[in-house]
Amino acid sequence: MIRITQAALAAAFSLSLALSAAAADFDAGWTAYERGDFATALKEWQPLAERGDRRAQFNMGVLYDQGKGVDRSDKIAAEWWQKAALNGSVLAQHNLGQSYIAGDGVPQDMAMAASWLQRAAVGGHAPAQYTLGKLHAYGMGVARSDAEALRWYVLSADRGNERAQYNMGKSYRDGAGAPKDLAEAVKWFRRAADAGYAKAQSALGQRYLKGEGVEKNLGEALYWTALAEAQNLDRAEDDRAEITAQMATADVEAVRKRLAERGVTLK
Amino acid sequence: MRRVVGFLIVLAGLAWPALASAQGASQLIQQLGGQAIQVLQTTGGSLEQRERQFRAILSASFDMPGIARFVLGRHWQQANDEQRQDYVQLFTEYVLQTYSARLGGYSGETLAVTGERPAGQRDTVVTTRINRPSGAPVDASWRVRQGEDSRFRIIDVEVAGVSMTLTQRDEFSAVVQRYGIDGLNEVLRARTTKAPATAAR
Repeated sequence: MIRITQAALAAAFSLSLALSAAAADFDAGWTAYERGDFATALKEWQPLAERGDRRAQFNMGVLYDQGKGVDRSDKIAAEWWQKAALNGSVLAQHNLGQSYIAGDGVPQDMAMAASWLQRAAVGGHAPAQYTLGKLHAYGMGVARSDAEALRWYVLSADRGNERAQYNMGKSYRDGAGAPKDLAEAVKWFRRAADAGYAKAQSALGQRYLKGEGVEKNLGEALYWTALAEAQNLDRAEDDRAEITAQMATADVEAVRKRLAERGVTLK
Repeated sequence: MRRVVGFLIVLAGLAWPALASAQGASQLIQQLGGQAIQVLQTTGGSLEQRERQFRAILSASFDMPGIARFVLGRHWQQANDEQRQDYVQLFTEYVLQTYSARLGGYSGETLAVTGERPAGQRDTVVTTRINRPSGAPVDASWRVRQGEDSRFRIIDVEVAGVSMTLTQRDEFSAVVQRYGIDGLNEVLRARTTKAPATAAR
């Protein structure tokens, strides 16, 4: 009994040593990476990656993709991401999908892109869910389907992806993939607008201006449009001029004050 | 091409102290260089912070909306407002990310402004030579235009006679013909939204 316990302890001890050695290598690589010492990061991560550590494999892909510590090679980047992706790294599945969309290091292939993004999307990766939705919306690599696009946007939006939330708003506003529902459109535009997404702020301003899905309110329209303008959204400048032209000076001043509290100057 | 240009921008700072005061276009290239080297020499703060600083410098020195529009060429006319807006934003992000991704690789290169000449009605081309400790020198020229706000901004970079914007225009045109403007925007989005390196399990 004692011998078994000792053997178990010894095994556990050596296992924990091995694990901490591996962890130290990875962390040393990460510290070097943060310092901008990419050569050291590469030196620490490469052996781990070659032994099948998917996190190190993923990071190796990033080093090659960005030419950090190595000559830039999107081909080698895609090879590391493919290894990590097959090992179940959703980040790598996502990036490999992006590589196939862009034709970076692999032939441009929208069907392959959709297939890798789908794996990451099923794994719960919100950016992959969003991009997969877009591929369905445009019929790139998959059959064109607004309903299928919306199905992926919902998952991504629920995980807080602002672009997906904005696209939910557009889908309900235009009746694309779901019955038209202006109140639902406003709800989703507002979520992305609250999170600071400029296009959604502009869209929400338009809903208030037109009184669609929400009671018409020029003050709110101006407020949200000005927030979008503060982020240099092109159309917001013209929209803001159009809205203020319809408002009493006192009402414009009230909005100016409200924006100033957020550190935004009304033009 | 984008790698070479990123490399050049990183190098633009390196001969900065050697340059005397100049006006307009040449001064812009010098300033870009001076600020770039400052960021390159910084080792404190996170990498993300330094990349952000570098991006701010680039975005002040390049006329991104003008370059974006030029690169899309005749397809600009067929794009709707939202497509244009998305495209300009994504193109800008793409260029900034590409050129700031190479921070941390400085190994003693120097750059010198070798001349300045007028180009067309309103542009100036600033010629530079980059001397490298290893390898032959590289000549690059920077096409600079004065905007309506009287500020000078870079509108093109040429390396060994190859224009960055013309190269991109050919590449983008092929994508638009196959997948449309939305497809081009997805390609740019794919390039700019790859997940970064991670320490998370």
